Amino acid sequence: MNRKIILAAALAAMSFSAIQAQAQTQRSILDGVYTDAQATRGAQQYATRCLVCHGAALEGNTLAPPLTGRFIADWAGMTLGDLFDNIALTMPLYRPGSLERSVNADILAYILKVNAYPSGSQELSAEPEALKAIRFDAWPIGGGARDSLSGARIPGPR
Amino acid sequence: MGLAGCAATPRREASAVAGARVAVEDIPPRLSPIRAHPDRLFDVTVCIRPFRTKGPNLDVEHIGGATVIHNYGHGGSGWSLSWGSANIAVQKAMSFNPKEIAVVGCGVIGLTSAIIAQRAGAKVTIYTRELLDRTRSVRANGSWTPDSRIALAAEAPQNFGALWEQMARYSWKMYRSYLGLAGDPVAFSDHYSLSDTPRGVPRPVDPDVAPLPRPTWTGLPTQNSDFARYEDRISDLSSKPQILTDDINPFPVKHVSRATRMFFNFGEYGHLLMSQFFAAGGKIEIREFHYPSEMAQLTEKVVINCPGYAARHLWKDPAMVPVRGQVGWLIPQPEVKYGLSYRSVQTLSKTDGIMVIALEHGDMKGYNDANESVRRAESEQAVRVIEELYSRFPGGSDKA
Repeated sequence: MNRKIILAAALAAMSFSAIQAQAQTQRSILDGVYTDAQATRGAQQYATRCLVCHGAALEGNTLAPPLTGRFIADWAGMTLGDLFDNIALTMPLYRPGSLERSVNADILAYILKVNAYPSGSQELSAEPEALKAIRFDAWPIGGGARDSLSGARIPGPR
Repeated sequence: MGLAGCAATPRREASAVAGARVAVEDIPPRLSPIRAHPDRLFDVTVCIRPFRTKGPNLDVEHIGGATVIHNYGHGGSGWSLSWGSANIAVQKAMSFNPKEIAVVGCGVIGLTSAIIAQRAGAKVTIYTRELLDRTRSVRANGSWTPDSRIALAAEAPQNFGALWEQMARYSWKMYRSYLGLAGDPVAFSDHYSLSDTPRGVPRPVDPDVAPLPRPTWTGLPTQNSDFARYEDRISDLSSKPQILTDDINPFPVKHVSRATRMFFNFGEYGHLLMSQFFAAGGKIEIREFHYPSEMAQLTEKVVINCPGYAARHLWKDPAMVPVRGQVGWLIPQPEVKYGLSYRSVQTLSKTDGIMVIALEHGDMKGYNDANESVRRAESEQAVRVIEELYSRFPGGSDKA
């Protein structure tokens, strides 16, 4: 019996931790976590730092992965902090880690914009804790996304 | 046969001919003649090109609880753009992070979409009325023609040129990995353009070719220049035409140029694509769709929609226009390793036959014509043009 109580308590503690984690990552990239002005700055940085490998449409090439489509599937379920750390650690390929955190945040904002994630009223922070609190979600099946080709918002429930 | 005339000339001497504009390594090899006779036409096929005046539809649409990514309307450029277009559609599909994807249609657009989706990590089921070898895809030309009837210049979206280039370049890279394989699924061959008049000078009116009827439909197009052209964007991918001077011209026609083109052998290439799809765990379910709403009933909630010309009826897409094309097939001649164009007739030698296509009126030919019945007389007439060409070679012992 005692064992069961201990197990139940442990489970409850784990659930609490999960709820805590959930609370910390309650925002989603679907909620508008960057500004248009930031994405514009990011576009300029992207053009000089990233475009040569990842392409003008973020389509990638035979060596560099695309930053659209499968890219979203690859990062779905993680946080913007995870993605940010990866960029900061490995990019740009010719000089990894050489860009300032604010520049990486701007570039990340641009990547989100090209992938049809909505902009908002607050800039994307470059602070690790803030980034870790934003969930990386895929486009919602059945509606709510924006068509990246035409830019038109696709009607439907989020 | 006069075709072999150049082969009888030692190459070193040929290179020394004054004024020769073609380098010794570019002198045409010995060319085997095409046995072009109407009785050797063993098949005539008709295809309705899925032309879309606005260019291919790659939009995302939500139906019920499902998300549909369209991939149709590639006109005369489906084979050429297939991989690039599939990649764009699949990248959109993967943005929804699906574990399973449905592909509707098993023409070359559907099949390449399915393979790219597998490569992106999805489990794929193709829902289709027919398998590839019975789709309109294999009744097409099957050459690298990435901007053939791809859109009307006046109706293509402003950013379509850049998108087209992305598709064309991606496809070109993909085809690289299908070269050099057994059975030549994808290959290059020389194409000779023969003309009785110098380049740029209009041909005299051929009394055998009926003039185009006045258009009976409303709106565009009325002439070849109404179709959008983008080939200049990828001019770095293709070799430039060479003019063959008299001393090395193997044909009994005054003006000849040559270019090297990529093409697809439907049989081997189609078999390879199907095999790759199955080897990666792909499944096929034979099914016909009557209404878009049926797609919401599929197990998979992300659907890539590749119906080809059927989009006109299934999706009631008013931008879809049928463009009829017909191919006459002469019995295969593996020794014929080139194609030619002469007096509005084009030939292309493939592993499964020599295609003979009448091309009078250029891009306007077959526009808004949905009649898929065979007109054998048209193909026989085209064969006779080629037959007459070869009859002008002196016959005899030099047969290749």
